Amino acid sequence: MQRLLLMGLLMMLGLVSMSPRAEAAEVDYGLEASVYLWYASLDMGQADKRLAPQSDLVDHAEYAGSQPGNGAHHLMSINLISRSQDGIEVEVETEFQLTSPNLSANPATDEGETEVRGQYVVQRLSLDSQGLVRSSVTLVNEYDDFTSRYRPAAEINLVRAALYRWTESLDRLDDVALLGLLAKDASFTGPEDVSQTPSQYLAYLHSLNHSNSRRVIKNYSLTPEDGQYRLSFEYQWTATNSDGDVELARVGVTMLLVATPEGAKVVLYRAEYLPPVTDLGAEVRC
Amino acid sequence: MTRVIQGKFHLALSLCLLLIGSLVSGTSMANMPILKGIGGDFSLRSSKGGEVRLSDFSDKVVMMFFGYTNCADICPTTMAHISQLMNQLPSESRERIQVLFISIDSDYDTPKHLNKYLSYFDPSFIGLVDEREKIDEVAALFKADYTKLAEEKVTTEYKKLSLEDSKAPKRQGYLYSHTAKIFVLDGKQRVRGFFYTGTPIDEMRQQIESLL
Repeated sequence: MQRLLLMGLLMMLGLVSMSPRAEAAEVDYGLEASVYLWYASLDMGQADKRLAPQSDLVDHAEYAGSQPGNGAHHLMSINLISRSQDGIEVEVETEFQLTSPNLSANPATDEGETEVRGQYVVQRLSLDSQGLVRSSVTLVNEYDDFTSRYRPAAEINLVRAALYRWTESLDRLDDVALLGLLAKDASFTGPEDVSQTPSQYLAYLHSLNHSNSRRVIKNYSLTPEDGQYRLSFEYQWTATNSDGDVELARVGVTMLLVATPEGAKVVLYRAEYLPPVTDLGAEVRC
Repeated sequence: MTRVIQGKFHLALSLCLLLIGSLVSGTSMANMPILKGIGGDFSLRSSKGGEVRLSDFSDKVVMMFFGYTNCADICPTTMAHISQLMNQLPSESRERIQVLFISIDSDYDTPKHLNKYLSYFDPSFIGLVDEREKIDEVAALFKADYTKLAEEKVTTEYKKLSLEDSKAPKRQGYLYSHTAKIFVLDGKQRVRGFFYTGTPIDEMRQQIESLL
């Protein structure tokens, strides 16, 4: 009887402590940006640009003869293995499509009709403190039992890397990184004052003296549009102000990015505050 | 031996209950965060006479509701709910709280009319009304949606709280659909959250006191 009571209590305790407080693991957008950038550079045949000065083994086991060439890495998951002052280890799950010889001369961007046999690849990456790749060891490399249409991934990986770098830089208020991501003559509308230039908006953010600033990306969608990529998403932003009060905001964002050999650039940024999410069930209207 | 086991069991039970209690209360006692991108200063005609600005209530916690006196259900219920909360607070806390009722029915409600209506709940409540454009601006600031249900006016005789002189000719008013949020603002006029008619009085009291 006592055992049953104790078990019941422990189960209650488990419910109370888990259900309302369970939080999804926090995404490290800086890390995501580095990983997406690595696979974008692989897909563009420019892996050397993202290799750390003292890199060890990069086995390229997904490529025929372990010789890197053009292909498409479609990232499925990025899992943190370990983190230290020295660097980070992650395991990355991808669906890899090696370019078929039948595809046109520009397979990084051209969406051909050719069916290719994909590979399920899991790799363990070791990144240095700058996000450059020190080693890449393939843990799983299995060929699919079916063929699928070749889909280029380089530009999408670049665009996602830019989005994650932008988000991380907004939280860290890294002006150089943010302004570096903006294309020349980019159209910018911040959520506070539509007339603010990017530099004025950043100066405003600095003046808030926020700590623990954290933007979480929700309801993300990416659509190719006339040689550009339209991103639509919502930032759920929390920060602690100088009085120690927590501030919350929902910010709706639309971005247009263009992929260039130097990386994706933001050509349009529009952000506006959205109404706070309230309990619709409790919101009676008459 | 059995007593020793019973003693240990009761100790474990007490610890578990204590832990559960602290977890539950920890959730409900969380301070109200500042909600950005909503709110701002405004001025409207007051039921107490003259014009008031939201910033006139600096250093007071404001509970603000968008409604109209012809509303048959949620408005009187909500005002009664807030009144119940106010009655449970000590007078020194009440003095640091202001309830504002912003009328969305500028066709029907007047400052005088609002004053009479609100005095049924609490004479300290202030009603605000003005031209339609000004009300729309305030509603937009607070993202408080409201819509007229139909272009036809309906009789107001069904109202439980009759505000009109029984001898006066009967008037008709519009019906509106509107948000049922009670906006909670701190002493710096920043929106800190929302209450509803269903929010338990104890929870409202706890949250309001955390802002005082």
